[in-house]
Amino acid sequence: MIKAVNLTKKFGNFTALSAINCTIPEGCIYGLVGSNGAGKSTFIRLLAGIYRPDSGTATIDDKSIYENPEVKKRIAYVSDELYFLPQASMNRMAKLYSRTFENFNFERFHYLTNALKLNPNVNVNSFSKGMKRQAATILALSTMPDYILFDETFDGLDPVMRNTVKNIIYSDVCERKSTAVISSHSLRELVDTCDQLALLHKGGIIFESDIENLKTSLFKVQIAFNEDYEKDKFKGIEIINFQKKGSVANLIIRGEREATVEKLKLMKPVLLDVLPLTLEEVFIYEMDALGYAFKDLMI
Amino acid sequence: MKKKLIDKNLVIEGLLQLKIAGIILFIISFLGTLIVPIMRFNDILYYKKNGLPTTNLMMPINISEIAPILITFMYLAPFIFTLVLFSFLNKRNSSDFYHSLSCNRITLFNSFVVSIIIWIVATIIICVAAGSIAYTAIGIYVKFSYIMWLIGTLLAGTLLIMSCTLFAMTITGTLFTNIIVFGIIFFLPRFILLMFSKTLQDCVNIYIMNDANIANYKNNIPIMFIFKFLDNINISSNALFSSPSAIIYTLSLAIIYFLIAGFLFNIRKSEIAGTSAPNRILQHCYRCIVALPFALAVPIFLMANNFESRPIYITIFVLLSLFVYYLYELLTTKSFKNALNATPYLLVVVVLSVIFGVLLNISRNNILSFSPSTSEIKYVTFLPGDSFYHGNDYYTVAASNINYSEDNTKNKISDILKNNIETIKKNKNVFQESSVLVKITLKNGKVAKRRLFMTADEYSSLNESMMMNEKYHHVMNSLPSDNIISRVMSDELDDSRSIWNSYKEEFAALPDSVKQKVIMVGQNSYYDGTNNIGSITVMGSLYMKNYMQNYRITKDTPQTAKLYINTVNANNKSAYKNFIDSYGSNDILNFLYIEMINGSGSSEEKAENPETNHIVLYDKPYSDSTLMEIMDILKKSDESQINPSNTLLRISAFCNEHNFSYFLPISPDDAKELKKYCNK
Repeated sequence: MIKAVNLTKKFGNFTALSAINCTIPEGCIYGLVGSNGAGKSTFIRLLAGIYRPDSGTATIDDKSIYENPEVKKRIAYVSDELYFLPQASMNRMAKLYSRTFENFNFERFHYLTNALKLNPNVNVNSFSKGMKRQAATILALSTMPDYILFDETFDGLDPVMRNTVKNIIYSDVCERKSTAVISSHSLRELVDTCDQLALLHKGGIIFESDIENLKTSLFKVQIAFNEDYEKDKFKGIEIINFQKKGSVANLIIRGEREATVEKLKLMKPVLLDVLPLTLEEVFIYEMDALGYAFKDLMI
Repeated sequence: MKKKLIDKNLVIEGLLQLKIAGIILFIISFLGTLIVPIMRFNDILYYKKNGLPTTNLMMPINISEIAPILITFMYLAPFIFTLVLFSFLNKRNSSDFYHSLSCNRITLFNSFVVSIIIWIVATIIICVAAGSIAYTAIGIYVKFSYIMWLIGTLLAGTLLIMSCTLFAMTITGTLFTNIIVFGIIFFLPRFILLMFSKTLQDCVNIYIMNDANIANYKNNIPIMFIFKFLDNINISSNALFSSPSAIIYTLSLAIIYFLIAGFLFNIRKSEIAGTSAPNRILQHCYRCIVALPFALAVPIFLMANNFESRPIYITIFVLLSLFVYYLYELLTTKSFKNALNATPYLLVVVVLSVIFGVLLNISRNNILSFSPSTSEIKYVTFLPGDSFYHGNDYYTVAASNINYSEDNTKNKISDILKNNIETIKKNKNVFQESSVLVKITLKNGKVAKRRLFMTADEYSSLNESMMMNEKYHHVMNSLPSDNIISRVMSDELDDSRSIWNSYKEEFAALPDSVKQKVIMVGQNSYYDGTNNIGSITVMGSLYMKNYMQNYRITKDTPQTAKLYINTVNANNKSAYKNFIDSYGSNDILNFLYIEMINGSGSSEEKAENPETNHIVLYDKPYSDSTLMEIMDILKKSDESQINPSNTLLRISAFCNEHNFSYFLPISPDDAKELKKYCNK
C-alpha cells in the first residue's frame, strides 16, 4: 500500500506539492489527473524515490521510499521523458535493468517483446515514439514490480499505440495483482483504465474518488411541470446543479437513483427523463460543487 | 538500513558504458607507448649499420620515457571517462532514470568511480609494462623503481583529475558548466598560488619556494606538468615523476575532492540536471571566482618593483574584473536586474584581493628577514640548475646530495645572502654575473632555498671552499660504484666490462691531478683524439637521476689501454687485413681517417692545429697514388711491437660498406714520413 502523509516538495520558492495526503491500496490502478504544473510528475517522482520530500512522508508498506533499495526494487518507474542509453538496444537496456533490479525476468521480457513485435536487437533510439513507450513499459514490467508508476505514459500516442500500452499495463496488473499509478493531464485517457482517480491542482489533491462511485454518484434528470416552479420545489433532494429553460429543468442530482426517481414521480411531472452522465461531466459538476471551475483545472 | 558501498553489477555496468571510450584511449595509449621504443630500436639499427656510435641511444631511459603518451592519458582519460559515465547528471530524464534505480546513491557513485579507476589502472599498468618490456627487449635498461614511480605518479594525477571532474559535475548541471567549474576547481587555486609565488619571486628575486611548501605547485602532479613551463627553474624529468611529497599531496587532494563529490552526489537533487547552478549562493560564488583572478592583478602590480606603468595596468585590470563580473551574471541569468543586484557581492572580490595583497607583503618581509649567521647554519646544499652543474654526468648527480658544513662555505653563503638582502631592501632586484641555487638548513631545523647572486670572484672563492669538503673531494676523485652502474659501453666493443674492471684498478692508483684529466666532465668533456686511445662510458642511476659518464683511456692507464687496443684489433683484424692487402683493387673506400696518438708536440699545439700536425684525412678516390704511399707506410708497421705509451696510429675506415678501427704502432721516422701527407 502506497501512503503519502503531508507530502511536500518545493523547488526553490515554488511549492510543487503541498501537504498531500493519500492512500493507494494494493491492486489498484490509480489515476492522477491535473493540468500542467499541478504536481503530478513531482508526486510520482516522490513515489519513485527520485526526490527527497521536503516534509511529510511517502511510504510503501510503511517503509520510506527515498534511498531505500529494498523498496525501490519493487517499483518500476516510466518517466514522461524516456531515457535509454545511447545506441542501446532493448537487450542492452534489459541487461542494465537486470543489474539493478534483482527480480528482472528475461522470460517475461522476451515474451512481451515478441508479443508486441519489437526487435530487441535494434537501437531503441531508432524506434518511433510509441515503440519507445512500449519498450520502456516492457522493460519496467519485466522487473516484476509490485508498484508501477507511469508518468504521462499515454500522452501523445496515437489511439492504437495508446490501447496497446494500456492493455500491457492492465493485463500485468490483473495477472500479478500489482498496483499502478498513472498520471495524465487528460481525464479521457484514464477513465477506462483506472479504479480510482485523484485530481491535482496547484500541488494539492482537491478531489479523490472511486471510478465506480463516481459513475453512480451523480445522475442527470430532465423534468417539466405544468405549473411554474423553482429549485426549492425539490426540497429533500441533493441537487448539485439546477438549470431551467422555459418549463423544462435539468437537474444534476447526487443520491440513490431509484429512490430519487420515485420521489420525483410523486410530484407528477409532465416530463421525467433520467440521463446518464459521462465521467467528464461528473467531474465538471463535482468540481463545480467544490467551487472550482473545471476549465481552470484541466486542459 | 546498511548501505552497500559498491555494487559489483553496477561496476560491470560502468565498465560497459565506458567500453568505447576505454578501448579507444587504450589503443591510442598502447600504440603510442610502443612506437617510441620501436623508433629507438630503428635508430639503433641504423646507427649500427652505418658505424655510428650508439652510446647515447643506449642510455638508460628516464621515467617519463617509459610511456610518455600516458602523460596525455593522465589528463584526458579521467576527464572523459567521468564526463561519459556521469553525463546522466546533466539531463533530467537520465538523472531521474538513474535515481529511480533500486540502489543507494552512494552505491551508484562509488561503483561508477570504481569502473573509471579500473579502466585507468588497467591501461596505465599494461602500457607501462609494454613500454618497459619493449625497452628491455632492445637492450635499454629500465630501472624497476622507475616503473613504480611512474605508475604512482600517473595514478595520483589521474585520480585527482577524476575527483575534480566529479566535484564539478555534482555542483553543476550542464556540460558547459561542468567544464567551466572543473577549470575553476582544477586550475584556479593553483593559479592564484602560482601568481602569489611568482609575484614574490619578482619582488624578491632570491626567493625559491621549498618543495615541501603546500603552495608549491610542484606538489600537484597534473598542475606541475603544465605550470613547469611557466617557471624558470629546471626540473629533471625523473624529479617530476619521483616526488613522494607530490604523490602524497596529489592523492590526498584527490581523496578530499572525492569525498566532497561523494557527499554532494548523495545530497544532489535530481532536478538540478540541466541547470547551470543549483542555487543562488553558488551563483554568487562562481561569479566572484571568475572575476577574482583579474582583481588579484591589483595587489600584484602594487607589489611589483620599479613599475612605471603601474596606474594604467591597475586601472585596466579593475575594469576587466568589473566587466567579467557583470558579464558572467548577464550570460548565465540573462537578467539586468540580477546583474544590478549582484553589485554588493563585489565587496567579496575586493576583500579577497586585499587579503592576497596583505599576505604577499607579510611573505616578502619574512623572506627578507631570513639572514642567518654562520653559527646558525647547520649546512648548505647546492641544488642542480646553477653554475656548478653541467648536465647529466655522474659527478653532477653525485655532488648534488652533499651537505657542506664547513665554516668557510657557510660563512661565504651567509655573507652573500646578507648582501643580496641589502640590495633588495633598497627596492631593487639583485643581478650579478653568477648565481647558485642553495638550500640553507639551520640548526633549529628551518630550511630555506635561495638563489644567491654573486660576482665572479665570489663564485670562484666559493668553489674553492667547496673543495675543502671531504665528501665532495672524494666524489670528484672516484668512480661510480658497481651497484649504481647499469651499463658499460665503448663504441668499438660489445662487452666492455673487462676493460672497465682494468680501468678501475688503474684509476685508483692515479694521482688526483691525473684523475681530473681522465674524467670527462665540464670543460674537460671534449674528446681529444690526439691523446685519447679510446674512451669508456658508464651509465646508471643515482638519487633518482640517470647519469652517463665518459672516461678517457690514455697512456696514463697503460694496462687498460693495451687491453682496449688488443680487443679492438682482435675484433677488426680480418677487416683491416682485407683492406690493407687488397688496396688498389676496385674496392669502394668511403673514408679513411688516421689519427696519430701520443705524437710529438704539446697538447695545446695539437689542439690548435691538429690536422697539419697529426691527422691524416682521406676522402679522395681510391686510385690516388697518395693513398698507395700511405698504405705502404702502414704495411711496414709491426703490430707485435704495439705499446700504448708510444706513438700509435688509429685507423678508422669505411670500406666496402664496412666500418672498422685498428691500432698500429709507428716508428718516429715513419711518423715523420706520414706527417707529409697531412691535410693534403
